[in-house]
Order: sequence, then structure tokens, then C-alpha cells
Amino acid sequence: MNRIEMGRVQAFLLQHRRMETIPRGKGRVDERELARLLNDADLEARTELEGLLQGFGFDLVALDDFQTQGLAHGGKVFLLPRRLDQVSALFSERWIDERMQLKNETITTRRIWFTQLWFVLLALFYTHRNRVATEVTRYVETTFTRADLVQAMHEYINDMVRKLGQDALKGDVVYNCLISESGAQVDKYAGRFIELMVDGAQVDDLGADRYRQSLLGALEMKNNHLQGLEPWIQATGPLEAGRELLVRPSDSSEG
Amino acid sequence: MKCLPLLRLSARLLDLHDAQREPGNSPVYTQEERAGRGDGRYLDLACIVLDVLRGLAHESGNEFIGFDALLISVREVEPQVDSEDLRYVLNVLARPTELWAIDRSDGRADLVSDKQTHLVERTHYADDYRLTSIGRDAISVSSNISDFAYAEGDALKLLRAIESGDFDVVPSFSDGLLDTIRFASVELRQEIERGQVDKDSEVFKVKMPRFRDVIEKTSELLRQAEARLKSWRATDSDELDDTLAVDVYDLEHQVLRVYQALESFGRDLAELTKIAAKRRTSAVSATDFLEVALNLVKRPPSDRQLESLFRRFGPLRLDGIFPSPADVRGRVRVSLTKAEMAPRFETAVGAVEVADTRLRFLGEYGDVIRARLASGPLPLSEALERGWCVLDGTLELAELLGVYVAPWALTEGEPIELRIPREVATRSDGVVGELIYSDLELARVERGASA
Repeated sequence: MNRIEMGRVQAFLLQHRRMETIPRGKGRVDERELARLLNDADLEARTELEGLLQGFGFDLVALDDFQTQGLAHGGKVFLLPRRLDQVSALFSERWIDERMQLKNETITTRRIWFTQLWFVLLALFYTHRNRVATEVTRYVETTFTRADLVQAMHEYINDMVRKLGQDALKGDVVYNCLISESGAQVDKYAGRFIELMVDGAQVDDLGADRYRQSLLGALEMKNNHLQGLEPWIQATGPLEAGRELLVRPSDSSEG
Repeated sequence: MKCLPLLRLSARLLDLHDAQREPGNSPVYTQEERAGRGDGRYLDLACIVLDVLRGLAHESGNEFIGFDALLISVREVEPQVDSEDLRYVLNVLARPTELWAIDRSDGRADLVSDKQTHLVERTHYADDYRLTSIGRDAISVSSNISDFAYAEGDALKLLRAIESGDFDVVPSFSDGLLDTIRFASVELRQEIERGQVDKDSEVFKVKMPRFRDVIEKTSELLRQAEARLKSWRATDSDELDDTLAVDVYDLEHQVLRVYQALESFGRDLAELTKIAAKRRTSAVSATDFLEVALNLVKRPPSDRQLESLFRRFGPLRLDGIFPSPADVRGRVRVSLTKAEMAPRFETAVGAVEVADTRLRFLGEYGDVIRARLASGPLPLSEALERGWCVLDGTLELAELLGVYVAPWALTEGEPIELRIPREVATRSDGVVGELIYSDLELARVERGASA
């Protein structure tokens, strides 16, 4: 792998954050070629690229068909999960605000919808399947349709959120936002949300309105939940009200 | 003998065989309740009987055995067995039932039936029993329903197939092995990911060492298989090529693939062992993310908290313009201004200059050398002597040697031959320095003289 090839591999990885040597169907432009370049690269070039990507805030992880499911026989996938200790300055969450726009709602509303849909989706991925965050290979079981997500969201709003009671949460932004939902809104937001997740490499689009968690998403969850998500949940939970989020990640890369 | 593996394999198939659905009926399967007993009583007895019969057949050379002797043997295993129960089980086992299936093996779909379903054979006249061949199959299949722990046996089959030249089965055997390894590997990983494997667990203490053992032995067998294939190819490959439908080279490749997969599983296993040894079991339940979402309703997160969450787990994308060659490939034509083109041209000139030396050399000495050749062969030593290796005051030995390597540069019309002496000559020269060289000779080919 010469420098130019390394640059192309790097550009592809930063853009898509995963590539397969034998992608399903045709794959993305150049995917097959670049993935094979990386696969055949000598140790020195590989180390160099890994260092570079680490500087951007990513690990370079390779998995073959003996280490995970959902790959073609003999295939290999390269993934670019985030490192907690070095959040990439190249990447932005701003587009979440942009892409979740339906009409003229406030940024806060969009963020509420995104976050709520997201945790409902995580419940579909993990809670409903009794799957713990360290289970990566079971990502292949997480297939869902847009209707599944919409239904889960409706159930969540009707069975859980509304039961909280108007009186207790008067003036609560999230509560008001969710219960003022007109019925069609969930569906529209779910559409936006899924597109966003697909473009952000967190969800795979399997075609014909079928989606599932991406391997990258599952891997990031495994790598980062203990130092990232768990403390975050603790920090935002009502029992821990007021505590500032403070994360000091230790070495989280095992296997 | 364990009957559960056999039942697992065949229960749903039997359901389909016995299906009461007519074409056009609802696709829902409604016969779910199994009429049978929930205590496994007769099945257990059947297993004991089959085991006992196998043992007796082994000792007696497939002799029939009387009911009373059988009862005694069965009671050695299970003292409480009622003789009528045993008789019932034997009646069922010895009774053929007709099965219907469609056979597609010849490319046609033929309806076939089979009554060879009794596991035990009874003599017509007496109360004597023995195993049928189906019964023997049942026992061996039930113990052979294999996972990775039996990969060694599969590899042995592969080796035997290769040894006996039965190459047709090699691809299916090696594919089977590959699948077994793949599933074992992924399953083990899954168990560890689930967080229930630590150094006191069954998986760590029993399964993983066993896997290591299997890997070691299976690798050895595969090595033998590969070596065997190599020798097949080396010895009588011509014969083989004519008679075989498969390419032995392909087979070698397949066996090698299995071998490599096994190797990598071995490395994986070592790594997984390390992880498992470090870990304490965390029988955590799955996080209740709905609860989390609900907490966020009760207490909306701050913008800062949201941003930190999005950054770590959200779908992100590259911020701003981050040019990549892939973006513009084939879409952008680079046009240059004249000022930019000029320096580029200069580098091109540099490249031409290299060829120029040769042209200058030929311009300087070409005619002289040609003229000299007209009067006889020109040895390299003489050319050096005459100083034809210096061009405009700088040493251009390479150019002179170029003429000796490619004499057609001198003239296209006449053939020039190159004579190579056996001895190596040495030369010390003020300009060239120390040389150890073959004193090559250029000579015009004299027509008619070569014969």
C-alpha cells in the first residue's frame, strides 16, 4: 500500500467508517478494491494508518467471518469505532439538528425526538432481546422495519410517558413535546431518524424497508458503554440529579 | 445412547410428514400439542434396550436374544423395569411404519415410500430380538451428531478420502469442516460476549481446553491430508489430470483454507482465553433503555449532556469539507494555466536529457566505431584504450558498455555480433580506474564466412 492508496483507504474509512472485502451485492464504489488493499497491506503500512486514524479519534478494527456473523464466507470487515478518550474534531453532531427538522420546530424539540427515538430503538436492539451491551455478534438478530419502530414509540408514549401524569410534570419540555404529538408526527420523525442513523453508519439499510443495527454500532456499544453510556445514564438519571458528567476512560479495548 | 439428538433432528420433519393441512388451508400450524407423555418413560426404556442390544450383538456376533435374557440385562441398568413395559417398547421398536417422501436425487421428483423403520428385529416364532441395521445406524448417528469437539473425526474422514483417492467428497468434507469451525468460533465468542464466562466457568475449564486439543489434533490430520495431496500431484499428476473431474490443486487449496481457518481459530481461542481469565462473571441483565428514555422525560438532559452523548454514540459525519480523492475522481478535469505549465515542462526536459547522453555519445563516436568495425573486430579493451568512454570530459563508461550490450544502436543495416571471451581481464586506467571485466568484442558478421 503506497501513500496514495493509504490516503484513499483513509478517506473511504472516514467517510463510511466500515468496508468489506466481500461486500453484500456490489458494495460502495471502490469498497472491494480498497478493503483488499488494506487487507494485503504490510504491517508497517497498517501500523502507520492505525496511528493516523487514532489521531482522528478512531480505532481500526478488523473482523473476519470466524469472529462475527453476517459476513460473506472468507470475507473481512474493517471498522472505525470511536475512541472515547479522543473525540474527533473532524466529526460533528450538528447535522443531527439539521436532519431532524420537519417544519419549524426548535432545536430542542428535534433533539428530544432524536434522543427518545434512539433509546426506544436501543430498547428494541437490547432490552427486548435480553441482550447485554457487550454482545456484538447478535447484531444480526436486530432486524426491524420502520413500522416496528413507530409502533414501539407509540407504545412507549402511550403506556409509559402518559402514565407519568400531567400534574407531576407540568412544564416539563420532553413530556409536553411527546404528549402533544398528533399521531402522524412519530412516523415522520421515525423516517428522519432512520435515515440519519443509516447515513451515520449506526444502522444498516437492508432494503425493502428492513433495517438492523450495524456491526459498527454494536461494536461501539460494546467498547464504550461501560465508560461512556453507563456513566451518562447514571448522570442523567433522577437519582443522580445535578451530578456533572465526568468520564475518565481507561483502556477499553479488549478483543 | 442419547435419543434427544435424534428427536431434535426429526420431530418437526415428522410433524410435516403427519401434517393434516390440505392445500389452501391456513398457513398457521395448529397441531402444536404433542399427544405424548411428558415423563420420557418409554423413550428412556427404548434407549436402554437399544444400548443393551448393541452390547449383546457385539459380544454374540449379532445373535438374537431371548426376552428374558434381555429383561435381565435391562434390569441391570434400571432395576425397576416392568416386563410389560419392556414388551410394549419392544413391540413399538420392532414394528415397521410406512413413511412417504419425495426423492429428488436423480433430478426427478419421485414419490417413494420406506418401511425400513423398525429399529429392532423380532423372530417370527420365538420371543427373540436383535438390532436391525437401522437400529445400529440410530445409535451411531445419535453419538455422531457433532459439534466442533468432533471436528477431528471429520478431518480424519477427509484424510481417508484423500488417501483412497476419493476426491469427489473432499469439497463437501472441507466445507463442512469450515462451517463447523466457523460456528464454533462465533458461538464461543458469543458466550464470552454475553459475559458469563470467567475462569471458574464450565466453558473455560472444560470446553476451551477441549477445543485447544481438538485444534491441535485436527491440524495435524489436515497437514497430513495436504501433504498427501501434494504427493498425489507430484507423482502421477499426468495420469490424474486425465482421469479426474476435479483439479487436485483446487483440493489442496481447499484443505489449506480449512487449515488456515483452524489456525486462526487457535489464535482466537488463545486471545479469548486471556479475556475470560481476566474477567469476573457479570451476570448483568440487559439495560432497560425504555427506563432510560423515561428518565429523560422526567428530567430533561442539558444541552451539554446531549452533545456529549451524540459525540460518543450518535450518528456523526465529517464536519465541513474534507476533500478525498474519491470525491472528485473522474468528475474534475484539472486545467492548468500557462504559468503552471512551464515548470512542468521543465521537468519533462530533464527526463529527455537522459536519452540525450546516448544520442550525443552516438553522434560523437558512432561513425568512428562503425569505421573501425569495417577493418575488423573491436575489443572493449581497445575502445577503452582509445578513450571512447569519455564524452565532453566526463566519464560515460555506461554509454560505451551500452553499445556492447545493444550494438544495433550503431547501425540498423548490418548485423553486428558480440563475442564473449572465456577469461576475465583486468585493467588499471587513469580515467576509468580499476576494472575487472570480460573483454567483449564487437564484430561485423562476415557473410558466407560463418558456415
